[in-house]
Amino acid sequence: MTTKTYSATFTEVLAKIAKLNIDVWPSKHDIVDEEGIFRLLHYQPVAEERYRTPLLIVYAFINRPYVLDLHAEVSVVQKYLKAGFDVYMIDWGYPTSADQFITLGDYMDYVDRSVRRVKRIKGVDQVNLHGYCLGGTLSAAYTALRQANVKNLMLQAAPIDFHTNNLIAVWARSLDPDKVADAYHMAPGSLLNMGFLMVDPVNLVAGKYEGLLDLVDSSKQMASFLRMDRFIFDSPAIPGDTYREYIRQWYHENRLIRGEFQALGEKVDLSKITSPVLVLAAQFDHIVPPESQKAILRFVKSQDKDVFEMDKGHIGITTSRDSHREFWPRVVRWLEERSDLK
Amino acid sequence: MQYIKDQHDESKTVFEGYLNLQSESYEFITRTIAIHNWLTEAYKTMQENPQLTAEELCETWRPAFVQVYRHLFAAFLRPYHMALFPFGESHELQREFLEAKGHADLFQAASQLWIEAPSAFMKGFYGETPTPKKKTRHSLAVNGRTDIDELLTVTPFNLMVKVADEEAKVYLDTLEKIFGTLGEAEFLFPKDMVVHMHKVLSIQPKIYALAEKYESMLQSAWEESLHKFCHEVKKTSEPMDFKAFFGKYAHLLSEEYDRLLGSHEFIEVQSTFVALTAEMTTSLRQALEAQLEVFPHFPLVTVSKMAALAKNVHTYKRKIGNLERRVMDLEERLGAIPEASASKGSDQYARAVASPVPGDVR
Repeated sequence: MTTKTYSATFTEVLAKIAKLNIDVWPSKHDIVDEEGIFRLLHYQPVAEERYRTPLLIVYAFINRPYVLDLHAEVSVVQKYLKAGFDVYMIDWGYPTSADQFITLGDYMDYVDRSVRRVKRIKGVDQVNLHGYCLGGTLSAAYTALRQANVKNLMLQAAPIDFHTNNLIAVWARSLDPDKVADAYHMAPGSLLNMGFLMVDPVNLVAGKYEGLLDLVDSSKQMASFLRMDRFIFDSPAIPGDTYREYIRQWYHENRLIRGEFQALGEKVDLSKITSPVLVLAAQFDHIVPPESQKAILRFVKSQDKDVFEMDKGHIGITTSRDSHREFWPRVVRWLEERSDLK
Repeated sequence: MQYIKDQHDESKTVFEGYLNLQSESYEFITRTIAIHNWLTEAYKTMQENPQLTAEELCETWRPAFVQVYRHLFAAFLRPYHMALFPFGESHELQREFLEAKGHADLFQAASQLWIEAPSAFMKGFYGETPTPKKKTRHSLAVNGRTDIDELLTVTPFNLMVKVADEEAKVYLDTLEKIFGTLGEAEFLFPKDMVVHMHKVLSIQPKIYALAEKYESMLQSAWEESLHKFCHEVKKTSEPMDFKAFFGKYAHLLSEEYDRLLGSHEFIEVQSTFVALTAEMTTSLRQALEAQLEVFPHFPLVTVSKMAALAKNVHTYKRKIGNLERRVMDLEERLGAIPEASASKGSDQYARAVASPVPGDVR
């Protein structure tokens, strides 16, 4: 193909992109608590509140939580709101080098603080927890430590067993996190992103964007694609001390399932989880393989536990239209069935 | 005039598209279009020359597939190029990057400033007339009557040069450029700086070797996949459209890389590179901070001092958080938690939002 044709194609694609609205995070929310860079958000209701127990969403400290509210048509948050749940969400913010000493313990403390804040606002004894990715890991650990505060626990693509054979896990186990944290004080988001993409460079770069070229005639699909891309590359750094602990204690030493991870001043024992547990597993997750997500079920003492699987990847499970047709309505029903009406 | 206007409009459109994207998305879209076009060219070559054997096809395709490789891995190789820059400019890995000018020129200009500014300052400080250091280094005659030229041979950096590995000689040319004009003023540098710079220099050759190995592994996987692809397309009797052509290539390439990326050798190189780059960054920062210590009148706070301050603040925050959590525990035990709020905007809601919870230092 000649330079002329290349230029025409390129300009055509960029011209289309220039006109697209690829804004994200459409649902209105207020900030009800702040501590440093951490914030607790409260979503404004879109339907009458039907259930007594509010829902707290805990996302990972990698990337941003608005993936659960990427666009009105693929918003998990909207699904919960429309069903009549009062929804809160933790936003871990954008750490800078001034936040380099934040540890996993600080994240756990803020989960605790948020749960207490929501309980206090609503005047209730318990909350429902929906943890996604590492937010799921934090939620599982929190539930084990404060089971009395959690009515139902939903874990979406959450790594529990870190000793798996997927490339990300193998690479993480080969890293020396102290050297990275000493040098940069943070694990830069760009470094993490390159790691995630390098796992499958052919499909995650050339294959993926070749697919975008096929969407040039559909503004809607192209906008969806680019919203997802906006989320993927909106990647805050991880505080240096968190990174040390996350890589060493979870990936190297697998402390969570060995009962050796400590938070809120105690050791986390997953067998102390007795509430209903739902695992939302992404079958084609190359970041957190299904066996890692489902490992929680081996440890909890809950009588009521289940797995809903979806043939999607780590993010596609949240943002694909397929997931929003059947998978998420089913998830919301699961929570409704285990919630008391107001 | 119309041509110029069209060019301007086109650039404006592209720039608006860029502003609507994350920078990574822009880069990957740009590179994917390049990859797409190079593969289209290869596809056409294949269609127009059905008589070519697999080996001939490989040779004909090579320039196009080199470009595919370059665009596919440019973002992934960038950290390696950045870690090596600006030392060892003649290094094979950096040749293409340097030819691209742009960034290279900018970086060189900035580093030149970094080189010259302290040098000039030191000379003024020391009261020495700048004289270029001798090109040839002599061994020191320790006879108590060392003249200034001989003295220069035992300056800390000169000594560092002398003890450096043979491997490091290529980098020492750059070192010579940096410190060569300082002369005796070198004695004003603190030992810590020399020690950390020495660490940087000892790490550099290792990083080079690793970067070279890393890239050669990526290249050989690419070579292998290209070889397989040439034979596969020649074996296929069915006519193949571009989509199938792209898909087959992506599949073969992906297969080769899956094998490589999970190999022990690749993981070893990658993790060692990350560790050494981090070590080098730490040492370089420590060297620069040590250099700053020589000028106490500079109103600059180092990263390490800021980190120490941030650590103190964090420790106090944690202590306050713990105390407030204990207060909250007591409140909960005493049943002092506010009643359920009726709705957002009510007084009860406002009280609950405003009431302290652990860690609330407002």
